[in-house]
Amino acid sequence: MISAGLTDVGRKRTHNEDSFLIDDELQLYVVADGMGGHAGGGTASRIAVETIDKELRRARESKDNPFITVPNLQDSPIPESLRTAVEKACLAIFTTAQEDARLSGMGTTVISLVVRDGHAFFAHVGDSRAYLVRGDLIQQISEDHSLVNEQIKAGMITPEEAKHSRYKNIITRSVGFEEEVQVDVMGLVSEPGDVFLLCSDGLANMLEDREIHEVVAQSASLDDAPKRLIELANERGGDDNITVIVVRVAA
Amino acid sequence: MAKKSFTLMVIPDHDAPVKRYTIQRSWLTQVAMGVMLVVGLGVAGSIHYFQVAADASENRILRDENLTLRSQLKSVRERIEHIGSTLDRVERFDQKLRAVTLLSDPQRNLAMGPTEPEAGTAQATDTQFTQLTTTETPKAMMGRLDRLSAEATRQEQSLQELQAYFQDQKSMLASTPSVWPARGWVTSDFGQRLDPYTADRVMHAGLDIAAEHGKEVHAPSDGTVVFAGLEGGYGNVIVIDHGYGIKTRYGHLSKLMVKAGDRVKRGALIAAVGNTGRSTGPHLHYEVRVNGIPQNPRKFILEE
Repeated sequence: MISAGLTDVGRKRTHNEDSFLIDDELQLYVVADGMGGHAGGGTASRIAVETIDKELRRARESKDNPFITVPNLQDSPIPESLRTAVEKACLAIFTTAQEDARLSGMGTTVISLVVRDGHAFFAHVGDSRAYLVRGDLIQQISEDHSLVNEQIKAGMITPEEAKHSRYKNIITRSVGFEEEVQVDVMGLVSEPGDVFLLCSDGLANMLEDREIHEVVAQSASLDDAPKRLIELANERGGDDNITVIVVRVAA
Repeated sequence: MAKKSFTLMVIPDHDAPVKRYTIQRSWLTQVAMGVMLVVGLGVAGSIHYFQVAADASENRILRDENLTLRSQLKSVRERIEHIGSTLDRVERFDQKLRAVTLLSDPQRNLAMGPTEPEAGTAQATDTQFTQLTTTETPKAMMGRLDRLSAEATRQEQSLQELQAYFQDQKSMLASTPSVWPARGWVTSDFGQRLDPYTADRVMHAGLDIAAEHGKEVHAPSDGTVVFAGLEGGYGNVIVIDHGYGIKTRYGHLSKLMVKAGDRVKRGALIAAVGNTGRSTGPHLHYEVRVNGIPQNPRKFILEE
């Protein structure tokens, strides 16, 4: 397993409210894009990655250790552990915001990945994304919880119009804005050589999927990929904070 | 006139007086004419009688003939009705094929020219050929027949255009999910329904096809598998990208037989029906999305 991650404030913002986590021991990877309040956004995303990591480490030490080897994808307890960890993060952020008026209304997106025994599991809230890059294929694994995505599904706007919509930053679910949040979980059987890419919308809104694919495929070393992707997003304007994690499954 | 009357004398027995009767001549003539009239009427009457008798026997023949014609007319009417409903089916099939071609790019279809304006009128003509009533006169039926034959000609032209169009669009045709992915009962159709868990009125974005656990699921058209794995309520799910903005989704599967990146052909075995995720029994949840928008999968299925 090779992983690399990087975050950048972008060209338009003064603060970086994104947080990311690379825990190669757990093989846990998280990107969180915070929002709300003065210092709220950065706080929310930081609490999110810390809580998810802490919860999964705690789960690993408990008697119900989810990091066990199972033959079938659907039998693994990891998705539910990931879901629980995100729910705990939600409560932690909400509680913190209740205690400090300056942090009131803060929240964050979460895209998280656990790679284990040839399986990859994702838990997801908001518009940060997970991609699978496999050979010629690049596929978004997570479905954005965003207003424009709802509009697309309702047939109100086209995906092309969505890219230029003034509402493209509005998300329909957020971790910590309320006490509870509905978490989407996904899982798939990974193949040797697969690359999983986690990113905040600062990357996804600036680059086409095929451009992301090109950069990942053409990077001599996987370590270069986050830097090159962030550079490209900044060349396009760098409208928002940009965070990228890439994880390659050992061949 | 010398003598205008006759005198009839009746001489009875000797002791009785002679009786005289005077008969006017004109009176006699009148009697003669009366007799002639009666005879004449009798003759005419019997001639008429024989004629009527002859007619009556002919009537029986005519009645039989009429009956035969009537039943023939009925069968002709039925046949017209049959042709009418066949044409209706052809028309619907034609519309379906056209709906299929509308998938990707409306601009492309504008290039099809004359077929476009007829699309609107086609709706109205949907059932006009099956509205034949039994009281219809043969003359009106002729009118119907003329219209049917005009319609048949139009259909032929339309289908020829479609054929020509499809010849150029073979790869798109191969990408259209035009067959059932699994055989079974459709237990829940596309559209508004009551949620099986909460009984709320919600949008059902696909078709639920009830089939036994393990039943094969086949790709309904060519494409690339872009997702094969777990996804929340869908359970084990496969997503196939067919190009032209079309994606199909198969939920609640028990077994995934393809993986992301695989290219599949129409009819390829991709999965087995199951009960994973948010599901109340073994079934296939089948979804077709065009440019991200869930569409009724039946719109694309050309099989009966």
